[in-house]
Formats: sequence, C-alpha cells, structure tokens
Amino acid sequence: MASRDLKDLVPEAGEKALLVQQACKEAVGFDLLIYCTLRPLEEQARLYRQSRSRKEIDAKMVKLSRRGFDYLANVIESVGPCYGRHVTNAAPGESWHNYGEAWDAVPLIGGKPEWNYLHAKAFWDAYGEAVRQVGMNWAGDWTGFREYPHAQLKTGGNPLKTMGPEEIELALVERKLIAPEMIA
Amino acid sequence: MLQLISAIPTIIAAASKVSELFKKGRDTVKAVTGDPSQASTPEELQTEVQQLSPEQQNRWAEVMAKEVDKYTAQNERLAVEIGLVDANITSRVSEDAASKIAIMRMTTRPWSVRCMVLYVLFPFFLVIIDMLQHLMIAWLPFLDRWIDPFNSFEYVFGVMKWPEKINAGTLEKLAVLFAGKGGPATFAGQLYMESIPWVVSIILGYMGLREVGKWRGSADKAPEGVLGGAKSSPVSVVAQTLSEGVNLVSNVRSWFNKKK
Repeated sequence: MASRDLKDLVPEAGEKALLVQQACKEAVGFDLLIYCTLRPLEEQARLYRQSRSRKEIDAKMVKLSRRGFDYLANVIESVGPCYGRHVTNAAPGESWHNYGEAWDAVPLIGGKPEWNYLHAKAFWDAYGEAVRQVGMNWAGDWTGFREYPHAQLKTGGNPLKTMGPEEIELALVERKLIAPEMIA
Repeated sequence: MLQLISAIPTIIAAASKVSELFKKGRDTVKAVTGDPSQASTPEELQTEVQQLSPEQQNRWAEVMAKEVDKYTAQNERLAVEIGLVDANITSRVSEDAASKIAIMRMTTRPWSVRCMVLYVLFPFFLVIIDMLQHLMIAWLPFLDRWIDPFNSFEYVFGVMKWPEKINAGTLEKLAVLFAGKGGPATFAGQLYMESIPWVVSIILGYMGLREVGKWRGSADKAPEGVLGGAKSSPVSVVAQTLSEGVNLVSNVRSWFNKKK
C-alpha cells in the first residue's frame, strides 16, 4: 500500500510539502490532502502488472534487464499475477513516487476532495502555483498528459531516464527502498 | 543577429515548469553543440547553456524563445477554443486583447468542418496520388521489387494499385468512379456524389457566418460589442472560477513573497 506519510518523502520534498500545505491553508483557505507520497517498488509492480499481459510484462522485464536494472525486473516477477484496471504506465523505478520524491494531492473543498480540475480550477491552480513557488514541478503544467494532483522534485517523467544507473541504485539503497543484496 | 542571451533566465524559468520545454532545451543544446546535454535539472541546464560560447548561447535562446512562445500560444488558443475564455473574461481585458481573441476564435474552424473540406477534396487527392505513382514508376524503376507485393493486394486497393508501366487510362478510370456517363460507376461513388451538395452547403454556410462575424468584429466597437453582449450575459461558472483562480494564484504568490 502506498504511503501518505510526509515523513516517507525525502527531507527536501517533505519540507516543501508542508510549505505547500501551509500556503494553501493560509493564502487561499483550503486544506490540501496529500494522499500518496512513497509508493514502494512492489506496490508499483502490482499496479503495473494488473492490467498487462504476460507478454507485455516479459517485454518490460527484458527491457529493464538490458539497461542493467535486473533487480527492478525481479521485483516485477516477484509480486506474482495481479488483476485490475489499467492505472499506470510506470513500471517499478519509473515513478518518482518510488524514490519519495513526488506526491499526489487533492484540494479539500468543504471537507470533501474535489477531484475534478474544471470544477475547482481556482483551487487547483493555486495548488499548482504553490508547488511552483517551492521550486518543484507540477504535473498540471505538462502538455502531453496533465496529472493535476502530481508534484515532483525533479523534471522528467521517468527517473530511469533522468538519473544514471548508479544514482538510481544509490537512491534506492540509501532510502532503504531495496536491500543492497538484491542489487548485487 | 538578435541578441537573446539576456532572455535565457526567463526561458529556463519556463522550462523548469514545463517538462516538454525542458526536454526541448536539452535537445536544443545537442542541436547547437553537437553533444548531448547532460542536464537533469533546469539549474544544470542553465549552467550548461551558460558555458556555451556567446554565439551558441544566442542560437539556443533564439530557438527556445520560439518554443516558449509556441507553448504559450498553444495554451492560450486551447483556452479560447474550449470556451474557458468567454465574453465575461473578454469584457474585462483590453479592447486590443479582446479583438485578438475574437479573431482567433473566428479563424479556428471546428474539426468537423476541416474533415468536410478534406472529404470534398478526396477525389483530387486520388488524382495526385496517381500522378505521384506514375512519376515514381517513370523515374525510379528499381521500386518494382516493393511495388509487386503491394499490387498483389489488388482486391483491396483496386484502381489505386501501382501501375506496372505508364498507363494514361488510370485517370479516366478514376473519373468514372465519381462521374461516369450514367452517373458514378460504384455505389460508394454514388453516395459520395449525393453527399457533396450537403457537405459543400454546410462548409459554405459556416464560412459565410464566419465572414459575417469577421465583418462585425472588424468594426470599431468596444470588445463586449465585438464578442456579443458581455455585460448582459450571466456570469458563467467557468469565467467566475477562472477570474477567482487568478486571484487565488496571486494570493499564493504574495504569501510566498512575504515569506521570503
């Protein structure tokens, strides 16, 4: 299960999350619910597998192995068969949530989460501005696929393309998201 | 050459908010220097760009300034097209800006009208394809090896199969599809010809209305006149939300400014 605890974010993101929540509350007057912070690799693997055929899963595993991420391919295999609707394009390691560098949030209007951007554009835009002000990237600014709840520390949709293999390994081990022996 | 180096911080600021612009920035570094960019953050990109020679920096800024402008224009146009910018908004902006929005709206054809125009032009496209095929056969005879397998699906492509040699009769065959002596040769051709008057009248009707709109819009009237009864129309939820949004965003900005 993905975490919603701000302590699970990397310190920089955690501090910024608090600041964004504070800005939304004090400057605009609404509560911001951060409902997803760290998503473990296994959880990402389950979500990835649940709407895909064995062929697609194998292809992804081969691709990851070729790029030197055998341990990520192993995570996909280890979670076993999963079934459900399509919810993500990201395999384990391909989401900033897997590194605690991103969060998803929704404005609470009258105590209820307002998921529809067009119904509460003002509040969503205010949230987006707060994210920008703390120097993070708001996925509502993306042109290809806008994901209004999502905010991340770094630019780029795929960490595996943004960071090098060593950097990835270091990040995962340092944050205790994967055991060092699994990488070796 | 226009000196654009001073615009680099602004471009980087935009790229830090939009991942596609950031990616474009990296691509442009490669295009300008020939080496791929190593930047993974906007700060790194800025450092990388600042290490380029002044000419390269200027070239980078020139390309990126156009990209940023394009992004902004696309977003503005999107907002106009989907109706986020309506008369209640345009009544609050300057006359000049409202006129620009009005012209933008008038020159944007709905996708259905665009499709209809392509539909009407369909036979002419066929003729052009046939001419291209003949030109290629005449000038590039070695293409035979790829053309033969394609032609084996003749039952799919019909008269559009590639000619084996220059064949002056193909155009007549095409013409018979849509206009034989006793009418179009095929049922599809008949349907097409039957539909043409309707489609053309829709296109002409739309274009006529658009011209009327342009004519009204070009008169020296106030923006609300240009866009039709802004003051009298009720305030839409979208417009209200949009104008509130502007305020809330500025609230957030001033909150952070105070914090600094």
